[in-house]
Amino acid sequence: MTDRLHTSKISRRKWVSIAGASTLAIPMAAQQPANPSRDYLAEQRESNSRALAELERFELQTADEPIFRLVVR
Amino acid sequence: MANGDIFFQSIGELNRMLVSGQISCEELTKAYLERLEAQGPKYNALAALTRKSALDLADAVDDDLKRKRLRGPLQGIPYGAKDLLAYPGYPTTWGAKPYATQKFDIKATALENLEGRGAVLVGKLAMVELAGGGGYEYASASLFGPGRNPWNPEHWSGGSSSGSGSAVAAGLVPFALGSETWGSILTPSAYCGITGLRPTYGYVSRYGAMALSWTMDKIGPMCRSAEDCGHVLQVIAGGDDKDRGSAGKSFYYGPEYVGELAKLKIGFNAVDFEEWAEPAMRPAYATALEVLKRIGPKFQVATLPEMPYASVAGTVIDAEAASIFEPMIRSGRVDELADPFQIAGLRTALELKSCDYLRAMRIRGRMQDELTRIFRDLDILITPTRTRTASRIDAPLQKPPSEREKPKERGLTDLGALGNLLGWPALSIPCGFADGLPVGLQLVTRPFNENRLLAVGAAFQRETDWHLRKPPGVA
Repeated sequence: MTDRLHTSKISRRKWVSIAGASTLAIPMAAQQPANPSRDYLAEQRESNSRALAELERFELQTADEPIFRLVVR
Repeated sequence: MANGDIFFQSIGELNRMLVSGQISCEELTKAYLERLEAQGPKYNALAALTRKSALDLADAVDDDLKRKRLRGPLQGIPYGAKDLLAYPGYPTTWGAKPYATQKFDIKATALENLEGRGAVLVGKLAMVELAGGGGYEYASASLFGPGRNPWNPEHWSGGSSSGSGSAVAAGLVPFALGSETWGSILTPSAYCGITGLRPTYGYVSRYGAMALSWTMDKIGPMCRSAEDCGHVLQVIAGGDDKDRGSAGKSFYYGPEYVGELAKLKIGFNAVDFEEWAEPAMRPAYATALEVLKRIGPKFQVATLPEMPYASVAGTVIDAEAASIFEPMIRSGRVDELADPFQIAGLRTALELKSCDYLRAMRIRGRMQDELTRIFRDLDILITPTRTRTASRIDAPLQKPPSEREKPKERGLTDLGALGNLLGWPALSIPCGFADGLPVGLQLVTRPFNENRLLAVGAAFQRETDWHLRKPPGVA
């Protein structure tokens, strides 16, 4: 898999995977059990739809450009 | 040699002890390694102890100290780093099962800078998986289990820098590095009763750090005081060609150059402290505001205009995180994460369209105009860092939408989302307790004006002792 770091000017990072890394201090915790009565995907899609609807309601002008490189001022 | 008090000393005091020869770096490092190893698991705070490299570094620091090669207040000081910062020879897990055995052969710039000043990394600290980018529902959303709060281990330490928050609060490290995309330094700082600084976006290089949102990620110090945050920021901040988002600026800790605090203007809104904050927190805030007024700044009412802050922040993070973790999501390894709600959040984030993301980015520009306008007459905005104290470990972190309170009045409650979207710096300082759990106060200012926050924070901490309190039951 690709490991995405903030390594923008350095070539893809090599990473070393060692099975059963001995320096891990804590055993892996149990996964939160999924609630079978819930449709998590539907819930997240609903949440996204609400957010996007709110963005749609905000009136933009042609002159409103996106900030690509965050200019902190 | 080491008694309980040494674990709750300031950076300055520890450094004085080292420079004067009262204690060696090796002794101090061993003491913290033992403490972190023994007590870190109580709070699920420890990801990995960096024993060998720490002792090697301590040896080199002792050699420098012996030769009076002094490198500043962080020389010889042990610290922990959120486990999204790469350090060679040890796993960098990002708090997530798909990356549990991941290692990098590079050192994050922030850690390189600290090492250059003689600070000693003693451990990688636990975090919420992938810094919570998909939206997590429970405190257990971590490879290491729920972060437990030293003030009450049945309560959450906050996230996503959960281990950093609890480790500093319990005296397991003198300071730690955390990161914040939206709340992840300030929340655990408030919940654990410590002082956390979210620096201006671009001040601290993100080279070697897991990316969650390229335009919103920031790395910052979590310490026992505003002064300690200043010392740490001075070392970790600075330009870095290896980070495309670097602001190219250094930071020099100099609160004395802020000028008279009585000339500062602080914007606040009573509704945040008197209605949005939980009832049990309100007395602490009332007292904190009185202390701030005694310090001298002038207060005036401020309000944020009605804008879709949370929706913009959520859309930006979703879109960027989806791109960053796309291979993990499409491969199906996302299903290995601990939190089902977060798994779904990352999957659905891939469904966002480019026009949605761009719309959010355009509104972001307008938000920048608005906050700049508000700050024409103000120097600092203050709000509760969080309007609730730390939740129970097993409780859902957010109420379902149908039960959420609707705002009675806007106030400044969206400052968390807005400040992070615009990359403006913020400080959270402890200001009391509610039902035995810490309460935090947030201060926000204009970019690159961290000294202003730190000056007010330090003045507040000279008048109070909340930042010196020790959790009950912590030795």
